[in-house]
Amino acid sequence: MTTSARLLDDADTVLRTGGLGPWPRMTAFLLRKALESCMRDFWRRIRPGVERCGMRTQVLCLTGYADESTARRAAGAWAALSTACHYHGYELDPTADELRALHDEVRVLAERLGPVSPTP
Amino acid sequence: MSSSPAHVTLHDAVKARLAGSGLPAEARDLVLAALGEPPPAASGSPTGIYLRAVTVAGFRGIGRPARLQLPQGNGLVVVTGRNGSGKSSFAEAVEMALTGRNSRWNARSQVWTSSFRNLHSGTRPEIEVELLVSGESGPTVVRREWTGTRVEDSAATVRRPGREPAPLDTLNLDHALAAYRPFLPYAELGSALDKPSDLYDKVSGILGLGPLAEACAALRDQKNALGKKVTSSRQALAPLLGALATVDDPRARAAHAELSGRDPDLSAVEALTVGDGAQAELRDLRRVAEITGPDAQAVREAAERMRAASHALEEVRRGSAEDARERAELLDRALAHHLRHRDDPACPVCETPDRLDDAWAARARAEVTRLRRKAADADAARAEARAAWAAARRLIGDPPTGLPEPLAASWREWLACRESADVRRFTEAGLRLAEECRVSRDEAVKRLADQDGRWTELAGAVAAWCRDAREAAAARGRLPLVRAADAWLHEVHADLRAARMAAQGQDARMYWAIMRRQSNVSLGEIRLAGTRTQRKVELDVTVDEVPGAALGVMSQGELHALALSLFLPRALADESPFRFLVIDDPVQSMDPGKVDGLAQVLETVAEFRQVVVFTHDTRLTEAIRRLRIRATILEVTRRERSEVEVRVSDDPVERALKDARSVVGDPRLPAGVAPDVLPGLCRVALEGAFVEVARRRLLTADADHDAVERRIAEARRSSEIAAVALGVEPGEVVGWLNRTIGPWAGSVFHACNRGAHDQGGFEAVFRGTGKDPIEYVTKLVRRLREVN
Repeated sequence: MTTSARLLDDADTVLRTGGLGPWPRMTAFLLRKALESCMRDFWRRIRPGVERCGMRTQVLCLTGYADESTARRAAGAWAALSTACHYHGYELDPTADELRALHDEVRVLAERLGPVSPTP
Repeated sequence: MSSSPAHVTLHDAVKARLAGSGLPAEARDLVLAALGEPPPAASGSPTGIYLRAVTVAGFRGIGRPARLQLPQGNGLVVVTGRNGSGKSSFAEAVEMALTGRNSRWNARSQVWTSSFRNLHSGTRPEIEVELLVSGESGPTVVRREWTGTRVEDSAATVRRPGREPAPLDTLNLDHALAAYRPFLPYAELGSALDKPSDLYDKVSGILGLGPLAEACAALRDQKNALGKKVTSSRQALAPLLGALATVDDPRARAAHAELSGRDPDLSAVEALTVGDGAQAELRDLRRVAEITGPDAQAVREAAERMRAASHALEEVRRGSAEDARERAELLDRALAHHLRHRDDPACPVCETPDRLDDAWAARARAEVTRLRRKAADADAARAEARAAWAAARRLIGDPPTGLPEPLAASWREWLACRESADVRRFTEAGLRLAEECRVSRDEAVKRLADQDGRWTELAGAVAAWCRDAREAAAARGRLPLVRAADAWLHEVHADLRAARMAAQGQDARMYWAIMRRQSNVSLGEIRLAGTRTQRKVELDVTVDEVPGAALGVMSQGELHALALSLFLPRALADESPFRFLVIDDPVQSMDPGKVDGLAQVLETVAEFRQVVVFTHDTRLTEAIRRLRIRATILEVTRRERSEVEVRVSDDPVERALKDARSVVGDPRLPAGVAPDVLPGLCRVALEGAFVEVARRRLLTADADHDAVERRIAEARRSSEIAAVALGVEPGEVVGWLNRTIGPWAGSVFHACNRGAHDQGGFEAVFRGTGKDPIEYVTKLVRRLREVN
């Protein structure tokens, strides 16, 4: 099981069982780690070295190595998760529904960025 | 083109259906009459209108003149700025300039509306909106100035390229501004769903069914008016009969009797109200009222004269007038004899001699004079007596016809006096009749006045009712036809409405689907229902899979998003002459997920329209950047004393260049990655610049704006969009760049293009120049933007 898959499962568990406390931030944090992890896997496989660059560079470089829609969705998901992971005095926590949608988005991206025939 | 083609086809559609409707011919005529003639197509109205710039001075938050210039053509423009920075003043100014009104102010108090002037500006408020109209080479400028202190006291002129300034209404945009309203302010989105009839009007405006709805309303009005006539005539009868029953007047009684019947003879009743000829009792009364009996004074004088004449006659009768005359004649003859025989004084009668001498003659002459006077007196007395009686008899007139009995008897006695020579009888009969006539007349006059007063009051009401009753009878005859026409047209309206709404509803649902994101509210079919005061938009809203839920369960943000979904199809209608859409503050009260959805909806709409969004909420710009949506972001800042400044904060070209620099600037980037990534990012920047050039050149070049946007949208490859921008063939782009900008320009364009397709191509172009490729691209972009 890849790191990103494990992180996605963890995020799913938190989402399901989360009650009181900072679970929304925790979920967002896990999802961002999952996305970053699957991007790094992608670079290691496609263009070794890029995975050591900053996330912004990695996201921008996707335009050169993945299809446009995937690059765009990855950029969107990463920016949304980055916002959700930081405490903003004036912004609300992401809702469970929003986090569920982001979870789905990261799962789709992990599939798209993963090897064509993923290891079972 | 104006909106009228839809109108004309609407007429044709209804007429075509009418032919096969099976309605009676009269009902069909009613439908056609209600529908009227299609108005002549408005010609010369501008189409394909884009916003180029708005300049505002002395208005709301803007003091010194400030200009907001917008990127041309389709695309998303976000104007940001803090609260009070003046950005909303721009948004309101555009609407104000074109419509003279502002929806935010419509319901506000005087205090609010009178403060539209800027506090820091001594100048009069004025707004200038520059529009780009399809097929025109220069901008059309709409200018609104204020003449008074109230917000309504303004006048707008329009200056079209090559023409003199004219009043704004010469543009003929009133209908389009209402039907395809290109403004969606926060206030309107917030209240859109409050009043079902308002929402109906806004949503149905673009269906082009206005004339049909008006025709329906006209027929419904006709039907109601006819129905009202029938019932009001029926309802008014009972009070009228009640009033008639209280009046003691033969006409009232007759009218009451006639109107109580099943099928009253209206003509007979109307005759009662105009004359009273048919009423015997009244006729008699009126006759009595008009009687002139003998004049008592004249009777008395005539009697006196007769008495005096009789007396005089009596006097002369005592001596004999005849004898006196005969004696006088005898003496006359004797005197004549004496004159003939002066020498013979003997009397020829008694033969006494010397009798007829001169002394005798003198005596005889005096006697003749005396005797003749006596005879004349007797003649005069006789003549006077005759005259007096004749005069008295002349006073005795024939009786008027139809005299009531006691009077008639007196009059007969009076008539009898003609034959009598009894002065006392004459006097008594005359004076009695005179008195009786006076008394009867006075009484009759009084009774007539009494009855006429009460009757006249009623007669008006009766006549009016008769008139109404005739109309009601006519209405009863027409009503079934009007009903049939109304029902038929109503059905046709509902049918056409449903058909035309289906497409619009589909779009609205699509926008809602994008925007709803994680909302538990889903939107089903959108139907327009009812007419007139009952008109409304039926939204099939499902909350948590429970159908038929009310809008009440939706949050304010969701309501905004829903309103936006419903209004966007209106702004996107093909028939609309506007190719721009101004949305003021759509983000308020939306949660982050909705803002993402909104950004995506705006991106979709911006493919077909110039979408100008004003917002103070950073979440929209943040979402646009995050979702990598092409947009130009303008920032409005306001310094002291209402000095407002606009600067470009972000646009697709700059962002692509920034991204490219960011990639190259990462020190950990492995060698060889940049050449793979950079051409793509640089090409995005170049293409963005070419699109700008294309729009700037073509939208002011007599071209059809829709065709321009189509060409830009269809240009897939860099060389194609560059060719559109520069007005050359795709194969000539590099040559044009080399010639016009410099030999390096063609290489840069070529490198971005080739590098995206073959490995290492990009770097190869710049290798050995010692220059940063991005710097070259930036330079090319800058030069391109300077191309006219």
